[in-house]
Amino acid sequence: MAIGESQLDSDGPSTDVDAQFGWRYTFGKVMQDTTARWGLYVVAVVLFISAYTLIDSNLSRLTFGAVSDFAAAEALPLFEHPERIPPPGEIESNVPPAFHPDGTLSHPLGTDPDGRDYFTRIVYGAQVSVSVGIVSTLIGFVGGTIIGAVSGYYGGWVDDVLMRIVETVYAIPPLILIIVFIVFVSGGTPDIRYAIVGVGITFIPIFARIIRSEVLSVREMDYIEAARASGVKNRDIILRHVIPNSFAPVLVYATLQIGVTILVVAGLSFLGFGAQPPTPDWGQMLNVSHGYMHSNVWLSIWPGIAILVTIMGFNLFGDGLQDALDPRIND
Amino acid sequence: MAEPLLRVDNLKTQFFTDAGTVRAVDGISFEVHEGEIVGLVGESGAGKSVASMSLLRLVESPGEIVGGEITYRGETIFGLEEGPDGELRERDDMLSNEEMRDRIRGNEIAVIFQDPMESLNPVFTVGGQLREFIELNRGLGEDEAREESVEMLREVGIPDPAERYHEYPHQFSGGMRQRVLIAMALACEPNLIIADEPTTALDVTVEGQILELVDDLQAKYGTSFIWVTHDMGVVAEICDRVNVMYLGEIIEQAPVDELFHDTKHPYTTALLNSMPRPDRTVEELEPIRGVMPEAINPPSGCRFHPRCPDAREVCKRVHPGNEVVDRADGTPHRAACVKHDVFDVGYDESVPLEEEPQVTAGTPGGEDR
Repeated sequence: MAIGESQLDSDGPSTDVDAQFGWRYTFGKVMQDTTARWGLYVVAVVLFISAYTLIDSNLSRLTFGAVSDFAAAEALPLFEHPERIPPPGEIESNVPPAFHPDGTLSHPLGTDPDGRDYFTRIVYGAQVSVSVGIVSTLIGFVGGTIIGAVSGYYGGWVDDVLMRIVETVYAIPPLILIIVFIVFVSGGTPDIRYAIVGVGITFIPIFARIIRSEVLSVREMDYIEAARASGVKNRDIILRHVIPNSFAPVLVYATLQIGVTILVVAGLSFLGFGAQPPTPDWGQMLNVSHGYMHSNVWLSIWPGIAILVTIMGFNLFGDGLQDALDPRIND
Repeated sequence: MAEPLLRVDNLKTQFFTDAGTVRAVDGISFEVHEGEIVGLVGESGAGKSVASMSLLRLVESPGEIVGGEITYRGETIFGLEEGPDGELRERDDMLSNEEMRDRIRGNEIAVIFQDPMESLNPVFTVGGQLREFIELNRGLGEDEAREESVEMLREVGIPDPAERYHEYPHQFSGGMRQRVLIAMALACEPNLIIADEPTTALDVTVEGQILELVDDLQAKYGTSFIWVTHDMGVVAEICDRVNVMYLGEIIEQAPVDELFHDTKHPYTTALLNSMPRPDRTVEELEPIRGVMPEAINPPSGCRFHPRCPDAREVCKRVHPGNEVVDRADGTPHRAACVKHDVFDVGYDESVPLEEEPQVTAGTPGGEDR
């Protein structure tokens, strides 16, 4: 920890030390870093869009009542409906984007082969990607933290057994593992939910290993010994003392992992194991559009850019957070 | 004398490492009576900390208590018996792990650790940790426990306890943190506190304050202490009776005045002589020859003989127990040195050992072996 000796020696509360460890300080540190700041902006925009579309679609649910009506509705309160295919006579498929000579301003990014507005679908795709990224990462994070903390704290045979299992899972290429998982669990009808859980589970080993290595040093601290000597249960020691003190590196890793998760799930959707049509998911949109690469390249470019920018955003932010929390750089 | 609060009988704790068995604690016996401060003194590596952790059955793998008996107020903390198959097994009346955790640790026997910098969880407020500890061990509600914590902080001399309750450990100085740890140890009004070098990490002025505080609190609550230290000055200041440890054994055991004024073991003498004093210069200081051998392969006979100025040939052969060599006011003064008549192994006729065999780290015993 980056506490100066002089601060340790002073008797009164030291505001410098407060500043160095508070959330506000970390946030300020991230904002000072140009790339991290832009990462944060992107993350904020993507999160805002997701929240916005979530409200949008739920408003329509309130307006139109039952879910089946929602799917049949022509438009959401604020947007065109991202999943609704226009009636046969009205289809304007593969309209190029607005800046193209053949484009129209009513479809700024053009339309897809089924005649749906591509801008709406890209915007709605953010919701899927963000929820996938966060939920999957959360599964890996929680599962990994529990396994890693238990494994590192108890050591001995508990550690051996848990870590051998974790390493076995770790050794299998993740994509193959996820696909096998989805095929088994879904029983032949893949769905985005299976992809989310599958990806989450395959990330458990990485989180478990990171937190375990932290725990190995934390468990030797005197306050753990002190807790044991004052009769605290092992479970409480793990929850109250071990995990909170081993948390920081995993938290940083989790922000970086969100980007990876989005990419992996987009890849799964592209392969047909993730989101299914007509869900507006970027990976799934790439899957559909790659057949039109020669006739309408825009169909592939927009979701590609969306994925790229989102992942970049999360990664840059995660990098910045890592630097901000690293005491060696803080000096 | 009344039944002691804590009785340790022939306690043995060993560590089973790849390099061999380390006999960290090798058959120590001592008692702690109500309201008394008992010192456990020795150089680094003498086994003091392992001994004190053994009392709470908190020895971590590969360490293990392999023998002896620990009795606390008539309850067996550790005890072995011979099973029907001839193997030693834990006695039925030994407290279970759950009983140790829920009843003994914290409630009956508390520990104050050496390093106050490291003994508080850095991510929670000082008050929160104290409150949680009180809630847990005394079954008080949150509000009551909070009031009690503030009261305890005041008791150990922390100014503005209500304010500082909400502060984090890094906002406290070393001395203040040690006060917090003392408050935590006292919070459940235990009958025995094991203080594992609690003032070693502090500077002398703060050390003085802490010792004074402990003295006051001890008088007020009547708590017994086991005071683990390597500092003879602290021992003289605070302890009623002293156990001197060398290489896993207690080699002298006496009331504090007897120990200082009528020292019976050459090691204790050497310890006292190696203490810096204002009336002597560095040149006059007599450090103990060599370093303590490793407990993995202790010297034959008396374990101190390679470093002992009084060593004779017989010391290499005879391993002395800790026998009563004197009595002062009915209290036995024990020492494990064959030069005393009780042993009668022919020390006086034995040839003095050459000064030569200097001990170096890693080769315990030198050419004697």
